[in-house]
Amino acid sequence: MKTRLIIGFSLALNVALAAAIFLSAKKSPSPDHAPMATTPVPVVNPQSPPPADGSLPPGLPFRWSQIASKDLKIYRDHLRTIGCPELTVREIMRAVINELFGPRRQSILASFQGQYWDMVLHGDLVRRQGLPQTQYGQALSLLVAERQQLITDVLGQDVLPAEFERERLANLEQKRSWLSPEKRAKLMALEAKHQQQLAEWAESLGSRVNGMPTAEDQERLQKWQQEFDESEQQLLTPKELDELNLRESDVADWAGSRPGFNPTEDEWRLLTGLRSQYEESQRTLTNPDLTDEERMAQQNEAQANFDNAVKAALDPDRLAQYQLANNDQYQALHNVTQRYGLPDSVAAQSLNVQQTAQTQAAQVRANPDLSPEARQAALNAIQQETEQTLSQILGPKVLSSYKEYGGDWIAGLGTAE
Amino acid sequence: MKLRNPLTISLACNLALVIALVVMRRGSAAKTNASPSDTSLPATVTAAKLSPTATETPVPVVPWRLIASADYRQYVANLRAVGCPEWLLRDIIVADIDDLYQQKSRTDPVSFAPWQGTDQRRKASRGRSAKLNALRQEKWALVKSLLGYEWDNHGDEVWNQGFLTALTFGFLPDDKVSQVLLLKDQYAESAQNIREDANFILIGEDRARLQTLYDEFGAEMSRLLNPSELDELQLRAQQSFLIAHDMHFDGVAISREELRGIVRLSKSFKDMARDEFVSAPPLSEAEQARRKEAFDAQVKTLLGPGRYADYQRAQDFNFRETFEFTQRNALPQTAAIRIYDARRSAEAQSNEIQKDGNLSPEERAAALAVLKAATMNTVSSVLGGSYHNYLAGPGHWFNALVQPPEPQTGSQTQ
Repeated sequence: MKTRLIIGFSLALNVALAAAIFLSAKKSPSPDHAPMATTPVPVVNPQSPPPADGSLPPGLPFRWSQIASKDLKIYRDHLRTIGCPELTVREIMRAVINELFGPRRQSILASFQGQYWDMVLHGDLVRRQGLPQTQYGQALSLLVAERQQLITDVLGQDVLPAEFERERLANLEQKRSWLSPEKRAKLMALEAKHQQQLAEWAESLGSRVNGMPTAEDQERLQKWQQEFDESEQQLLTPKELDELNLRESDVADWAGSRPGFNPTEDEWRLLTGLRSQYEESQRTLTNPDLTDEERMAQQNEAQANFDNAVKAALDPDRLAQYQLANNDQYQALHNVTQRYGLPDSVAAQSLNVQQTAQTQAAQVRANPDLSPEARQAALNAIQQETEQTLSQILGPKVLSSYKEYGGDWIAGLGTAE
Repeated sequence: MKLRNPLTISLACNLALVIALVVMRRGSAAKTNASPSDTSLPATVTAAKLSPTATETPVPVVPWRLIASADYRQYVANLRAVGCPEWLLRDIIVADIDDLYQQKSRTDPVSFAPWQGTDQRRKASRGRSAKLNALRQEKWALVKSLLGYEWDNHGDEVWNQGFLTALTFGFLPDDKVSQVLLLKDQYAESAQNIREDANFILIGEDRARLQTLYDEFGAEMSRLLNPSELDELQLRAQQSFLIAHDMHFDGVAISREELRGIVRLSKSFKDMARDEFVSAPPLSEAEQARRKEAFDAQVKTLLGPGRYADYQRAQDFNFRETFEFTQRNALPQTAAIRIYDARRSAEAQSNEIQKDGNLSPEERAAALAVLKAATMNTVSSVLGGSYHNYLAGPGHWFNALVQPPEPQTGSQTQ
């Protein structure tokens, strides 16, 4: 009997303990209860430092409403206080402000929706510059200004996007990969310092009434330039400096706009040097003491010198390719023929046809012995013949594309202007 | 003995259950106390404790690092778990992802040796573009997998893109605007890729690909917007036809619905959105003329002969100039019409007089002077007190009535 009582008690205790365990397990909030994407998302933000435990501690007595506040500065400070990164603080505050202004904007927009087609009818949408002056524009302008003011109040002035600057520096870094990383970094630091000096100089001029530099200002500028040049010379060997000047000169990028001509490194160095000399000779033409005739003569001489030097630098085949690549008419043909996978010779052949046709048309137009009717007939014949020849060289499909992309001169052959 | 066994088993169960309960309680206590500094946040955080001026008060402890997570799914779950509103959660996550992908796209900037030619540069640029495109696709896919829909934080964009954008999209709910803009961007990017791949020389197959893409875009838009929203948006995109073709309706009695009808008809002349998207080749002059004729006929049917005449008059700058003057001076529309008619009639008569070979120069001058005076008299009677303002403004044409026509410059003269 005693044993039975003990068994009974023990069984009751089992039931009680089992119930306690069940209830205890039920009370613990599972972080898995939050809705999650069913498909695994492999992307993890490597920039974000992972918390010690990926999920929130269970039973955390925290709700978003505790940091949210109608006073946006308080809201902002709550976020900063809990260590929310500044970028995220800004995004949150912007989102909150957008949400705040959304209904007002919608209400303004809604009230003008009925007038949308009236505005179209009255040409208001054509005069876009006038839109801010319309009733609609004014209402929206006020709201936009109010929103911007609130953003400024809460987050301070918008910082200019540094993305472009970052990209510029990354490109420069890549462009100067021929220099050692150490020298690259030092050179960029020197340039940044010099840029800063120039910016300060310009700012100091801008703050003056007339904005004109004094002799002292000029002297300061020259001194900085000299300091920069000297530092650069100390940093780089003469060979490196020459290389830098060549690669980053104003004329260095010419190969990027000559489709069909891919220079070798040696050709590029030679031609870039010649281009630099030519540019230098152009500067002397700005001398105010020169007469127009003298200037013209010097200009012609510089051009002839450059052309002769190029001829001497390249062998005949390469020279021909280079000259074609400098010809806009050839470029148009080259672009279209390349699109259809045709060889460069097809573009060159077509260019000959173009040049012949245009010369013939010019002769017909200039011929005083022709009556207007005879002139028109001759021009029409040239146009027709040119079109047929080009069709044979390019094929009708390519010719049709060419007419759309640069071949409008064909139709122009028939005009007697 | 019979009873001993159940007793032993039951006691063993008691023991096991007690141990299990103790272990569970300890585990729970250990979890709660694992990082006391992290979880000892007061149940209610008062504004006073976190106010901007109270910077010296103890820092409340729910560090952001407990909410933020390198795993975006967890980040989303954590934000939801603390009751972050869904619209804000979305903007936080998308902004974070934007930042991540901006950093990713920063690597490997494209660069060339200065002697590399156009073709090599183009190839390198296209390679980089392809990489950036792939990153953008990955970003959009990630956002969709997290939120269940595609999203870009277009809020600022809608605000800052200008009055026209806001007005054009203003009939749609904000959420749909963002999604429409995103879709537009996505398809515009794909179209641009096709153009770049073709080096902007589009041939038949490129246009066919663009057309397919445009059709897909249309299908996506149909899923996103209801039929009436889609129709309105398409009409608003098409209204630029009126601008492109310099169409005016000054002084034409036309309802909003009729205007929408005209815009709808214009699509068969030139589908503005489609043609821009697929970079449609220019129409031949003959085709252009054929379509214009067909469109004009449809407009005429829609407006009826009387209002179609008004519409034709509105295309004349001279009428619009006078119409605007009468509007500014609070004169009735009939005043503008009467002046316009008087002008056309006077100009026709002036031409006749100028061409009349039977008149001597003096006779011609006298006839023109009489015509000018009579016309000015008519216009003065119409405008009343505003006549002098008219003379100082759009009334410049009176003088042209008496001036000899400019000598014609023939194409033969040098």
